Amino acid sequence: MKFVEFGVAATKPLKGAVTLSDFVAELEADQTMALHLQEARKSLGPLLDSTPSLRQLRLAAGLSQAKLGAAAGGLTQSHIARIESGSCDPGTETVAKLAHAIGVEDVEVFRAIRNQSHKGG
Amino acid sequence: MPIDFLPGAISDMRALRVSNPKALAVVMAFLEEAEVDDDLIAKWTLADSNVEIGPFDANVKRWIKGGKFIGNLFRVRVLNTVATSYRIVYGYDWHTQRMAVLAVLHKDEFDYEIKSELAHRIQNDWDFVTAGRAT
Repeated sequence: MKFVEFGVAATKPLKGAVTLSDFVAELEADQTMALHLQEARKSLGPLLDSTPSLRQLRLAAGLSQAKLGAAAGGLTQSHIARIESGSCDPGTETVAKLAHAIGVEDVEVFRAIRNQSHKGG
Repeated sequence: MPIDFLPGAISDMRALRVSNPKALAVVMAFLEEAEVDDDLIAKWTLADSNVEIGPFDANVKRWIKGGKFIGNLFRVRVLNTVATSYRIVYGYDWHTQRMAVLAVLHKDEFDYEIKSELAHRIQNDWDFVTAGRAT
């Protein structure tokens, strides 16, 4: 069963709740916590399967989808989600932006995206 | 699927930020990835036993007693990390299609006892969100 196609749906937060992104922003305002978060994201990468993927490259750089999008010149989190899920083929300019934001060569991003399974057909 | 933190969970995480900030960071990074992975979140909300669910090493378990008295609740633990000892208690609200994190507690603090203060806190938070709709 699928609840959301891609990315995070823009519905109202639950009553009295704080959204995950707001709480992450609060933590990242503290430099030490921001470093802990970066290290934590890096630690999750090796837990993924061994096929190199954009998600692995992103986590190895310590980035969330939202952070990668911002670092790649203002791509949205849902755009990154679509690329990672294989439902959207990025152009060469986008690949270059992603590679620059992650700190790897363009070819590594190309290879990673090519390795991903395409769900969208 | 969007993930929200209810007041009790926020309080747990602020305490964890002081006592074990690295574990909190792993919990947050893990939930951050869960929020953007609809396949993973679907498995989390359909699990009904003690199961290990990838792509990250996580163990999901339905809170049976909680389900009987409070609603359809689960807990997940992130395995093989500094956060492994922490139980992330969550529920899915069908009405808003959002996931609510109700508690982030060390396993020594919370043993799922339905009569405990923590279970009451979780119940109050969940009732407030679901307005009695949860069964």
